[in-house]
Amino acid sequence: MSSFWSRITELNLSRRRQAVREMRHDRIGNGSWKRTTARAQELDWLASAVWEFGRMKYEFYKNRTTVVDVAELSLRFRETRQAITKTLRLLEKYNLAEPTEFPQLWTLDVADLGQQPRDGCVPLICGHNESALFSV
Amino acid sequence: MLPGLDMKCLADALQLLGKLIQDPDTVIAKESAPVAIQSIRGALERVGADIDQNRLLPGASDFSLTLYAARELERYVCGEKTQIGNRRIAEVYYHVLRSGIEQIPRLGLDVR
Repeated sequence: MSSFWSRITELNLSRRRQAVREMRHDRIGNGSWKRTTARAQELDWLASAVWEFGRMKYEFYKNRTTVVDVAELSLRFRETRQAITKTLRLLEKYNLAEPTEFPQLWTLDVADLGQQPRDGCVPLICGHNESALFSV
Repeated sequence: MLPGLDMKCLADALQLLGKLIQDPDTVIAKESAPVAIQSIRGALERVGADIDQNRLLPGASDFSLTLYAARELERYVCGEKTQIGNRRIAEVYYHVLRSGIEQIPRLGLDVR
């Protein structure tokens, strides 16, 4: 009896494994799995880079409000304006960016972190990539 | 006129700097990077002076940020105190520097 159930379980397991294999094959085969992960990582890097660019502008201009331009960010990081806007929207979710009345201009909330140590890691973006950490 | 500003040399120096930032253990890049970034900074300062003289050039307001990135990267490469706290931040400064250098030919300056 026990061997019967273990064989059934094994069969189920092997069927499950087969299903997973097929699913992975399909996704990796057409590249969507790999693409999704790579794109999520790119978006994480871009969000971090955009925010750090804001920090850089803040350090240079010392203005209380740091305004970034989608067109300039697109040029600086060789990304499409859509990708930059998506990134800024992602930062907005975490109250780190805010759109202005001008569609291409966003303000970044970087000024109040000016006194914090820059070598620490602060988890800012979670969800779309669990390992996303911003270096501050 | 910007005598001595060679875009090919700038591109080579930039590539070397990029190698050092991506892989800090690269021996050749480690030895040559300070000279490379110093030459980049020097060239950018000349471009900046030229931009100041010809106030009508497009993109001049962004150029100061490129020069700032070069100065901070120079401090980072030479091990001095800088706003660049780690390699990830250095990459961002490098992107700013690279995009700024790529814009130089469009500024209307006389470069080789």
